[in-house]
Amino acid sequence: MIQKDDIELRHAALIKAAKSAVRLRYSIAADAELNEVLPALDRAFTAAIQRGELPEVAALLSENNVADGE
Amino acid sequence: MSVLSAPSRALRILDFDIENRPLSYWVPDNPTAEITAIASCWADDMNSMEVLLLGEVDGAEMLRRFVDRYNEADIVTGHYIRKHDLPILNGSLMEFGLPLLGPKMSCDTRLDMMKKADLPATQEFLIETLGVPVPKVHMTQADWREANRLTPEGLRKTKARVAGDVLGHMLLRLAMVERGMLRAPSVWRPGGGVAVDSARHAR
Repeated sequence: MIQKDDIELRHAALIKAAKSAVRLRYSIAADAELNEVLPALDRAFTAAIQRGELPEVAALLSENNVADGE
Repeated sequence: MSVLSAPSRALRILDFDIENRPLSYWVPDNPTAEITAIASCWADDMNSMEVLLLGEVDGAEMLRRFVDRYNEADIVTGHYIRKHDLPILNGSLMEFGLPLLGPKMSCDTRLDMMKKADLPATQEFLIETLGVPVPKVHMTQADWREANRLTPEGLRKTKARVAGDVLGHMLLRLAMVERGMLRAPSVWRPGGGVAVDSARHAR
């Protein structure tokens, strides 16, 4: 392993901190959205099972507005 | 095919109930049990009711025929089946040297019911309280004694009782689902391991 000098260490720290901050912001936003979406999906899935139907996953995701890009 | 795009399909839900009689003294207030009847019906087909009676068939045959349906089912359902009917069935299978029950998704209308206090949780009470339109086949002590003697009249009473309980439960479960009284089905896990050669031990 090559030892970094102070400039390289400072630069790496900056990039790492920036990545972490951005990812944290999106992660927290995802938690908030999933807090609404997951219980709704769970209720829909359980209701289907109780009706005697094994539902299609893609259809449930689409009905609850959880699809690629949405 | 990815599970994400697998199409929907109908689930096979098996509603069932057993009757049992005491067979030998064991610990106080808890004799050992012997199954005297097994009734089962597919939830989407009222005409599929099958009642197996000890006295018409032997114990091993009752178990084999029920297990055939059990293995075909996606979900089994009944009242207190995870603590009563399923363990008793598994114990009987062990006693007869037959292959044991595997894990199964289950809907237990007593154990999966929402929390409540100071009210009964019996099937009879729930049917009456929720207004489920099915008569309860009541058995007196004398009826039970005759039923457990496996006389022809006793078998007739047992058959009416156990089939009536399954029919009542089928309607009760739907009523409870409609009212949001049941949590999601969960897998009943009987424990044990994987038999090396389960067929070898049959009596």
